[in-house]
Amino acid sequence: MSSLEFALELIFTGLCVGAVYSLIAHGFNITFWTTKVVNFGHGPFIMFCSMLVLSFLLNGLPWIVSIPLGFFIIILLGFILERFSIRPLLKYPTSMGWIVSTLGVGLFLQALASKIWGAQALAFPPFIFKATDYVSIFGIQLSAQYLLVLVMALVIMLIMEVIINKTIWGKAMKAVAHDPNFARVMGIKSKMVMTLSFMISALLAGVAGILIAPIYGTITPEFGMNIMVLGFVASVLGGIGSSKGALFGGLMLGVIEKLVGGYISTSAEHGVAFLILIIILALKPDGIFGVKVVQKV
Amino acid sequence: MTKSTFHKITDSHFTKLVLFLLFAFIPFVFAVNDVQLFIFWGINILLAQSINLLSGFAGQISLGHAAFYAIGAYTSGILMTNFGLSLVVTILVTALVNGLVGYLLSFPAGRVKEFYLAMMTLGFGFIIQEVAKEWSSVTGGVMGLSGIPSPQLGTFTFLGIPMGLAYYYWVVLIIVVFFLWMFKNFVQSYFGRSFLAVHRSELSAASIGISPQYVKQLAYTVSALMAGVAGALYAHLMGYIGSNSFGMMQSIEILVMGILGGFGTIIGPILGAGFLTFIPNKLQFIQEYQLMIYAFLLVVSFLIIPQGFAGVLNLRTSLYKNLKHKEKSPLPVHNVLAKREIIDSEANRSNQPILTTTNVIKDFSGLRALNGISIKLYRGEILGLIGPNGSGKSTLVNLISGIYPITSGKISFEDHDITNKQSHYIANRGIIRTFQDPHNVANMTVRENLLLGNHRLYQSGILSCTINFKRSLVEEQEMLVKVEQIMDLSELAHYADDQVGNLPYGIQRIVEVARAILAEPKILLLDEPAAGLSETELKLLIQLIRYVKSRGIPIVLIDHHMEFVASLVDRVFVLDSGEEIYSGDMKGMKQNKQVIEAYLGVAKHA
Repeated sequence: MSSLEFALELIFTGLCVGAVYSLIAHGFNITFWTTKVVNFGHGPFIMFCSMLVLSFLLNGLPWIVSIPLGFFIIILLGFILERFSIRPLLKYPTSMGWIVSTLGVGLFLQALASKIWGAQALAFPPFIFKATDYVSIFGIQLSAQYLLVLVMALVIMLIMEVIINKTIWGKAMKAVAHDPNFARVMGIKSKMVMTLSFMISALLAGVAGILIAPIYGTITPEFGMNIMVLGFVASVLGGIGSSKGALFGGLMLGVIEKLVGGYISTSAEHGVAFLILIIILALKPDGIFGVKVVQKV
Repeated sequence: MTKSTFHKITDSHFTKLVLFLLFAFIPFVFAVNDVQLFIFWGINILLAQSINLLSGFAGQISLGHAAFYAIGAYTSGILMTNFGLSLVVTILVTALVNGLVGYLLSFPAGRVKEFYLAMMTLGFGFIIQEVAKEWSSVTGGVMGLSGIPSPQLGTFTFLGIPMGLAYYYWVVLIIVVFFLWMFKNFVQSYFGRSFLAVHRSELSAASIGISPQYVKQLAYTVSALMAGVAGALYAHLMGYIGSNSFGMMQSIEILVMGILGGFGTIIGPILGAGFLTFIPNKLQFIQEYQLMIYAFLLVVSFLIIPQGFAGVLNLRTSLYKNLKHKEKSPLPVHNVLAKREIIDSEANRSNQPILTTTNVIKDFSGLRALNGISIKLYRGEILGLIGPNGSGKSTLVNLISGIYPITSGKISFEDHDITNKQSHYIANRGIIRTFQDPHNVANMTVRENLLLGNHRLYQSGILSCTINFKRSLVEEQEMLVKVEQIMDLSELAHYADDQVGNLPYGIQRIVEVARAILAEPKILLLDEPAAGLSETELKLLIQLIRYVKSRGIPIVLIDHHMEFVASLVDRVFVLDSGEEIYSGDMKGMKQNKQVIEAYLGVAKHA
């Protein structure tokens, strides 16, 4: 394989993985808009949904039933999270309360998952395509599974963008993001919009879980926390609260990771990502697109 | 038993000695397994106090605290296996290395707050674990590092003598007691108080001369150092360390110990550490569901017991050193201010302004809040700063005190250019301000808050405060006397030991003004001090302001209460929409057309 093809393939896989990071970053954005809260239990939500779907599949349910069922449960968990571990803590001036309690909910799910399914890695079956299905574009072999993940992630983000900008629900959400009290005066049920944002965020976590699991091949109760921190990196890289930032931050991180993995060492992949997190936070916590968002929102 | 007798008993040296001896006897009474548990308790106490200092006192959340623990464990493990150094040396080197790591981390971490900091520390924890896992030539990678001399394996010698677990227990006991003693001294000094001030608000801490940057550097350094020593003790206890011991769950466990025990107290984290050491080990059921229970505790602790065990038991750690039995001869009130200030007042007659703003302009993203303001403030005078809401009065005070950068112009103080200097630097030079809403530290008592005002006058070094050198104790007593005097003057004495957050609004304002006076300002900026005060409180405030004036200290006073302003000021400066519309005496102002227009709208609106 020529070096160019190798590089292109790395970039392609990077984009696919990165698209999932973008989805995770979108999940952070939605709750950040309405409540300025970032769910530190988002990772285990990702893991839990993929675990649920896997266990439904193993119990003989078809994909078409397993996935909606998994999504339903994860949305319900999002609802519970907002009600019990965020709303009572928003009244405190510091963020330590909700950081700790959302993290606690996440860890609880993680511990629950190891109790139910054990701590060892479980194989996650490929979705629609087989692991060996390839598509050839410009002479480069692209995994069909990866391509599917990329396309689906992009489509979901596009739908999200349309919903937020064009529908009444999206506008209500924007109003709440701007000023919850004023929105309430205008007749918008701010609290309901907040709850809804957590349910949508949980759904996005679930989607990310279903998309990333076939790429990873195996899933463990711990993988959620790891991928959540990568979602943080994507989010911070692009700028928290920016849709554009979430998209580009995720894709950039994916590509950087895979290039580091391909040219330096796969064991350095995540380490580099975490390093980016610290450097970006120290130098430009608003991220690349952050500044524009502050004025827009 | 009343609270005070309880404190008397727990604070007495005799009780402490008895406790120490009881703990020293543990190896004779308990089985090996239990002695090991007690050692773990000691290690966990260090960890819990480490995160307590950083998150509980300085308010910097840490979700990756196991990283410091890991660095400590690996550093000492490597030093001992590869170089055969003795425990004393490894602990000292580990403490140094960890302190350095903490210091370096404080630079990126000091720039972010709240959940950004949570993300960063989470990332830091992951990085260190990745390094431990992947750098196998040094750390042993996933296989771990074994062969560290350990008292459990009988391979541990100290000063050439082979040491068993009991000896190791005593070593740990002495180290833990020593650290707790230093920790107590530290948090009860002006350093500890400055940590809580930064926790409450960096802005208000800076306004009394505390550098938030410095506080964070110190917090990270000391916190990392303590966790590092805990790591070293752990490495020797186990004889083996693997990267799995320092994952996120360990960070969470440390956090739970702190939160559950009670952040911001000394006893709390000790109890929290004990709880998490003994309970899971003694109850099989809990061990099985350990992670779930930790997670559950994280979720509910903030909701149910936000102050932790210490809060439930009502054990608050006081934040100053009280040596009551020593001299308590109240000096006459006029000695409150240092001699330096009195000499300063000699210079009052000079015609040089002490503060000058020259053509100061401030734009807020396109909106001009102040347009070319030039003010001169002379020694010994009270300047009233008046204007309708939004006219730029507070903005001007914020510019002088360095909270906002100015767009153009110049501010100078005593011939020094202080334009766009950092807030705490300006406060340290002697320009002290109060805020529109009181910026006290709500969970500190009145006396402790007032001591915060003295912050910039303290000279004892950090070591001196930590080891309780006599000089630092004498200094603390001197400051306490000053606080006592100002409390008499401002009628706060019977609130002395009440937490400020529980007091009525008016009292909180008086506390803030008294705190500012204790900082021995060269200029005092009061931003609407009379707002929301009752009639008696207002009288008290006037009394305080007159007192400050009598010391020759110039004051800039913003307020809407015209009678109040008129009774105090020498001169007024009136702002409207960021422009100067009048400057001169009160009488002239009342006849000035522009002023009347600004307040009543266009003249003759009938």
